[in-house]
Amino acid sequence: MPTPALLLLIATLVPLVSFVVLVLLGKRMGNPLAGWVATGAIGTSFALSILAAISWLGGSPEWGCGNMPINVPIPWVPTGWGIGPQTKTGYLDLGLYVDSLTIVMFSMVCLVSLLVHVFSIGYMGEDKGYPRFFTYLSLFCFSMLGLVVGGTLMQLFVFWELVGLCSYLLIGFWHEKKSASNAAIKAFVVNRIGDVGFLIGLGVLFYHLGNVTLPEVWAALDSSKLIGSPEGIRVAGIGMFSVRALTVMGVGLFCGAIGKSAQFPLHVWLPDAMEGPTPVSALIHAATMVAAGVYLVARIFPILTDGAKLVVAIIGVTTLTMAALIALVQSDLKKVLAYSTLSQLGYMILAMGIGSWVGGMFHLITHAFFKALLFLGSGAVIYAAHHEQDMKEYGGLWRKMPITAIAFGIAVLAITGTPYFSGYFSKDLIMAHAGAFGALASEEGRSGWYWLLFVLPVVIAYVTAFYMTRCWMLTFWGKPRNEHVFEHAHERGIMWAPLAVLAVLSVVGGYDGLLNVKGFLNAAVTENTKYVQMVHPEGKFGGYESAWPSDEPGLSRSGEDEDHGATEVLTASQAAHKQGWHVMHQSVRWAPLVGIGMGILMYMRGYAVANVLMKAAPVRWVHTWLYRRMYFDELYMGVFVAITVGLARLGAAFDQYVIDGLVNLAGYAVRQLSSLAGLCDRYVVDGGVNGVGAATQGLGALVRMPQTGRIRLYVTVVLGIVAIGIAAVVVVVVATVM
Amino acid sequence: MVMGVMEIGLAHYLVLGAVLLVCGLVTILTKRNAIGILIGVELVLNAANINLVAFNRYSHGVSEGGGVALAGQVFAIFVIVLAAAEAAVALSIFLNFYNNFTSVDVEKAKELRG
Amino acid sequence: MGFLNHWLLTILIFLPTSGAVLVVAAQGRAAVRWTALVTTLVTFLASLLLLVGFDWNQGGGAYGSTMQMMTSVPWIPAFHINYQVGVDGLSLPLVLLSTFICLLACIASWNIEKMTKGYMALFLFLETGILGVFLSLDFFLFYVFFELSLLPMYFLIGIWGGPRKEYAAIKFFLYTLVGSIGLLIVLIGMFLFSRNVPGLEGGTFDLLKLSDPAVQKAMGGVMGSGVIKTFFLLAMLGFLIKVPAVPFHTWLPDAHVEAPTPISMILAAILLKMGGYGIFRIAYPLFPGMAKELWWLFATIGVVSIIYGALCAMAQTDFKRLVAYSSVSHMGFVVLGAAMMTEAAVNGALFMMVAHGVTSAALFFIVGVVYERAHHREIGRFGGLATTMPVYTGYSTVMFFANLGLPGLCGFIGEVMVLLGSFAAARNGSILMNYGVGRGLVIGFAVVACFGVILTAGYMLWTMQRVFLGPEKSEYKDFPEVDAREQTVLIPLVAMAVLLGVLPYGMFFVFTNTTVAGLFKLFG
Repeated sequence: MPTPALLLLIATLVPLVSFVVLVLLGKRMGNPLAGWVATGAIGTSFALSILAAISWLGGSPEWGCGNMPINVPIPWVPTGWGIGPQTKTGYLDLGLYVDSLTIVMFSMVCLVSLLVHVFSIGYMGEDKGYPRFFTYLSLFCFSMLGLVVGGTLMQLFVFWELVGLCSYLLIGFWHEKKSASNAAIKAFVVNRIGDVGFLIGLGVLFYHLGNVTLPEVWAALDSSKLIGSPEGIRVAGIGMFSVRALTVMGVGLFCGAIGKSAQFPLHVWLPDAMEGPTPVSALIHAATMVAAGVYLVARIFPILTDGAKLVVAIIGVTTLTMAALIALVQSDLKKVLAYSTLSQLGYMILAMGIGSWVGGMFHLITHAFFKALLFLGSGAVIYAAHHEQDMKEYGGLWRKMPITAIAFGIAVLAITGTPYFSGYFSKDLIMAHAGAFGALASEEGRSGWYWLLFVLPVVIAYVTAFYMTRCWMLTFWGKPRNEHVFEHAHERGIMWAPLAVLAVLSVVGGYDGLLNVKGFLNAAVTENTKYVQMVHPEGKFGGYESAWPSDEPGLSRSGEDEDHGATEVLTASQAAHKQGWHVMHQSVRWAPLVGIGMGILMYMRGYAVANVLMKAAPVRWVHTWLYRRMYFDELYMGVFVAITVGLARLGAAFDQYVIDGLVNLAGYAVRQLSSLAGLCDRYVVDGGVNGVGAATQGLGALVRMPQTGRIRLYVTVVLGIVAIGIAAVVVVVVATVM
Repeated sequence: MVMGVMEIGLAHYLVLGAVLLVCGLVTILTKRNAIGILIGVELVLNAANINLVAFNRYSHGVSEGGGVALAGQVFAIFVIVLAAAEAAVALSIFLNFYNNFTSVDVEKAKELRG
Repeated sequence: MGFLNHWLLTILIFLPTSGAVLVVAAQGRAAVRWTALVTTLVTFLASLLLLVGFDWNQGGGAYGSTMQMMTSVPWIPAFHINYQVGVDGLSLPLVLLSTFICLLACIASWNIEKMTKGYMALFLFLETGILGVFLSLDFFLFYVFFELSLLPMYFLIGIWGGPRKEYAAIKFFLYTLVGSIGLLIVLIGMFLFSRNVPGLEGGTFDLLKLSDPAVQKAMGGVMGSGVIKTFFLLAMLGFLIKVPAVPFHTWLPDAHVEAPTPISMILAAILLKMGGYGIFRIAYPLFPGMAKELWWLFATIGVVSIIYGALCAMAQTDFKRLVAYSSVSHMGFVVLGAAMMTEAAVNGALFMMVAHGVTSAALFFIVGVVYERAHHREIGRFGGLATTMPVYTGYSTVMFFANLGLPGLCGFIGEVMVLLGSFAAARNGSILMNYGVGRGLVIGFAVVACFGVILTAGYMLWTMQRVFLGPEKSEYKDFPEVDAREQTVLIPLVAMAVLLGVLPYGMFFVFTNTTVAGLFKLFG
């Protein structure tokens, strides 16, 4: 196994070892040793991931900025295809796949996890479940890293479920709270609903290919093959894969992402998931696990048909709009952040749908930094405020927590897309591609509605800037609204240190020159294309052709373009790309300024302005509607949950009364039949036998009657008979004579 | 036939026998005493004896060869002997019966009732 | 080694019976218990010897050729009935599972105070019946053991059971007996018809001969398709009742609720598997054509069992009943896997049987542990056990998640392979596609079955919440944590759940793979 893959494998397994150790000894280690064991483990993983990145970069230069992707399938369970155990084609594989994307994601996950671990040592310090918390965190790290290195859809699915388990365990960490365990169940079950889609997609894929290894899947079902043959893809040796099946498969797999990345309509679990400890929200429900959905879509991007991509884009744009609107009015600090996470994930999903592969993944990475920062910052605030989460109780906290306030502020600037902060680069890239997507649709004469995929994200960029500013203002600015909370507030080193690191990353994360995330991602595209081409030289691989280039046209690095100069004839997609960047610059340039300005103006003095606005009835109605999260929970509880529970009751009643009733009825009928048979036996059969006996007896009694034992009677009878006989003889004789 | 002098003939014997028989039967049927019944039986037997002897006398008379036909008489003697034996047996039965029931009333002898 | 190869299976079958004799002879409760424990332990160790003798590298053979350690001795020569036993990939995992679970159930039986001697003797007798079913290769012998396992179970439920034990025991007995009658008809019918096959004059009960395609062809000419179909349906009825599949399942909840904990463990973990085993050992190999023709019937039964069982489980208030219905749901995957007739699905179904054996035994034991302390099983009345008994909660969590099919634990592999295998049945060239089945129908079944996993997650997690989570309740505050004996039962089960989930190939498929491949040669 090549070095980077081996390093990543070890880095994945270290947290597992830590998990096992903590399961067995965690209680005995106690506070704070257990935490440091887990932190040490993830720290080791982080170091290994950096080593892997270095070793990766040292690879052969003809493979872009990275190396040749490493594909290590591991046969796991046999699935037949009529092939015996000696050949390995009849297996469902787990396995590793390492490319530049893996390297970036892996390092990001390790880094954020490490910071969250450190933060948690402080945050969870007084909790009696401290060792258990770190046990779960270690399990999560293992699962998440396993997901990131996953080289087959099966492995993705396996670890997909495992991170879901960790999410369940950590959301319900304070298991004595009913709301926490409810939220945990909700998270798991809603994710399961998405996973059914994943499973169905996997099934459709599996029944056609019998192989779920990423490069094989890409090569076989490359969506660019549909350009030549719109009715479907013919896979050698297997047969026709219709475009409908491909779309169903793509949407099915995407359903998994809908669940995990909490996209509309399965978004309801994420806000509730805030019941978990705040570091968990930062790690799992902001930076890493929820982004796994986007990662999955990125991994299956080459096989998504246009129809499937459109579904992805629509789901993404719906989510980002809806979530941002709801975030506008929430008063719980963590809920605001949760909805902002939803909204940002919507951007990433939208990016995947419109072909902004690099943009989506880029935003995933930058978002991980600033959203983890936001959550850890809110964690620091909540910790300081005695686990009070309602912003109505905050205000003016910057005086007590300056570092947190600054770090939080940096994150706010990053998420709003303020120029030269990390979010600026990634979000603009997505919106430029959205514009290009709309422009291309117009050029090709498709519906004007495609422009919505651009317009809505732009509008929401303004909204985002506004509500994030609101969040910061209500928490840190103005007068303290709750003196008790204000008095208690303080900062702790172990908690602000991770904030500082993340703040730096939130600033510099977007620059090409520093972390070069975009460079890695671009390298991933070229690497994967080249690799698939190399393994399957028989056809041309164009899975990533529908992805937009990540550089702004006109700023191209190569010198050739300049030679063509103004005479260059642009293809339709190149023109659209150029137009996309243009409209993007025109429309979002002012978003941070306007949004932040509005926010500052409105919440300068706490809730004062808002309260005035609330006097208008329509505003109140909209507010209530948004505040109650558009009534999705009520709808789901009232319809789907009620139907399921009703069906369950019905089923149980059916079982008890109908099926068991039939069984008992059959038993009853047999018993009745047998008692009938008993009667028949007693009176008919036995009656006959006894009748013969009785008749014999009666006859005997009759015959007995003359047997008196009196000798004189006998003699009389004899004489009588003799007399009768004589008389008869006489009569006969006389008659004869006469 | 002269009515004045009645010659004793076969008919008289037969009538005597019949009377004796009827007397015997009546005795048997009416008497409850076992001894009485035994006496009745004797009467019946002797009625038969009279008939035997009378028929012997009147149907054969003297035999052709001058010998006397005595078959009826021989029968009668047999009957007397047998009657004696029968009386002996019957009496012993009665004795036994009396020992068991302290009576010789045949109405008491119902052990054979079916 | 030669001796072992020849007689190991026989020794294995009759070891528990000889143990039962010793138990009867033993004096004193402790002696009885230890004798039983040693017997089950020795039987388990003997079954591990199978692994030594088993040749796992025989590939590519026909169905019968993978049979190993065969012993065949004439038993009733007048009817060509043989004492014929053998082991292959289908039976080996189930034999190991049986001896393993029996050992654990014996430990779990330690607190049986009522008529211990009789209990242990019947228990060991039951083990003989079970092993006999899994190892016999003669139809008649199979039937004898099949019935033989019924009787001890009847008494074990009827004497040592709960308040409605008589009802439950009789229901269990009669239900299964109805199925057995079907089996008996098939058994005699096959014997009579087999007399028409050239070379088998005098008839045969040999399962391997009866599943030989040439023999079947000869018999098919005599029997006619109506008779074959009737026989297949009768045999399937017998096994589906045992599995149990909806709508023949209602004996199961009653039997489980009334049975004592260790007997529930055996019932769920092993006895149900006789049904599944029968499908793969008898119904399908003997009537492969019918299996194809009637696939839709069993796919429907399987899918309905999955969904319906899960829905019923969700509505239960009795902890044990819930686990029983969850068994119905999970065994539905076995029936579905059989119906779909792809290697992935069949392998998955076989795996499901073993995985369910581990998880259901553990779950019933878990219920037993809490029942022993609380003396009731009302889910709604529990709560907060995670605080009271954290270690117990830890084991329970693992087994609950294994049951709901979490990757890395055993339940997942079976479920996902059956589901993926069901999708694979829609592939060009699969058995069902070659037979001319509609692709949409196959995919429809597969998709509906997928939804079972949501329901399973729903009711398992809801149960966990009601039993273990929430604030600690004062009435359960002084419950003792699981003791050493209980941990002795739970730890091996948890270990097996993890091992099967992480290393499915090395723990399981290495045995079954070639046999399943051989089995598929029968379906053509």
